[in-house]
Amino acid sequence: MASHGVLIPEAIAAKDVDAYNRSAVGAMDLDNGNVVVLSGKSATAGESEVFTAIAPSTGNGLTGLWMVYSGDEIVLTDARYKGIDPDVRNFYNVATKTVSIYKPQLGDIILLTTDALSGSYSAGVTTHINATDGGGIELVWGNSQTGSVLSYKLQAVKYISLATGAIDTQRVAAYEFECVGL
Amino acid sequence: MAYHGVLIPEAIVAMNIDSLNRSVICASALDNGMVVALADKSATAGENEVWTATVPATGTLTSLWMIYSGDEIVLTDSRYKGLDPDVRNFFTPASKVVSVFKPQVGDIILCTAECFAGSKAANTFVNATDTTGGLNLEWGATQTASVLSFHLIATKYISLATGAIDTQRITAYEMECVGL
Repeated sequence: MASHGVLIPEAIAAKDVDAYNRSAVGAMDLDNGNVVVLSGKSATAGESEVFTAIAPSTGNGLTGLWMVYSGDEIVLTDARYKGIDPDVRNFYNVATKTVSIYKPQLGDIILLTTDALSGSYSAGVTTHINATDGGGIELVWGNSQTGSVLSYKLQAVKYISLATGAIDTQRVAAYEFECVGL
Repeated sequence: MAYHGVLIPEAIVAMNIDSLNRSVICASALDNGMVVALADKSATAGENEVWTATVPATGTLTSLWMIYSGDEIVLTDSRYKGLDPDVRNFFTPASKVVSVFKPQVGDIILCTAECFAGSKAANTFVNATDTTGGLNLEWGATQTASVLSFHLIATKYISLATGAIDTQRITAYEMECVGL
């Protein structure tokens, strides 16, 4: 099974501003660290405070995006239960299930694994991740910032720790980004 | 007596950011949900932290502030809070200090029809205008660029505490800020 994106919101404005946090539901599976456009409120009964999430594109918009981040509140993930599967890379948000999202702000610092992104990291070459028309819900590695879209600048290559218990497999690369465009 | 606007700030950035909240004084009576431009600070003794609010007009249709008095105001049109159960009778009399907040893109508010100029009809935006709007955002079919603007995201209601049968709900509009 493919690994899913892992997001650690190291310093984000949404941690202190309630209005930057919402609930959304999408027709597609969502990894933490994916980005979505909110097209309106859900029409489903019982979801009066839930917004409908769609993939970013030129037509749907590449600005004003929201980032997926489910914390501890989600238990069932792909038939695995939190606390039983120790690998956080197996976590994702199942399609049509309500998920938490937040609105990135300039200066936000996040830590993302490569599974949440499109394209590949190349040391000294790729310096930004940007919302693009072909990237869908994933930000895409680029050699520069794209103007007038959601964009993050790479600040450091770090790692996240895994709780697998296996020797030599307890770290995976993760990238620390700062939001530089909305 | 005409009813006044009712505003419920469902999710606004100003709830968490102190600097997006101020106190103002205006020559006009103000409903919650109205918008004002801040000119200068008041020159009146005892009001050194109070700004002077003016009616938005061409040239001042951006960076507006929205009126929102919560529980701190007691006297409203000779009615006392707690004695009059109808929140639609609440407003801030002219020349009284009132609280305002600065809307941000993404803010979600719930407003009754009295907050807005014009009629809802098929319109889905309210914009700051220099025409009939003034203190009230005005209904429009589209977003007006480069002015304070909100987009309708749901038609809901607010509850009244009148106790009367069948009159305990009135229509309210859930709006999201889309332009500053």
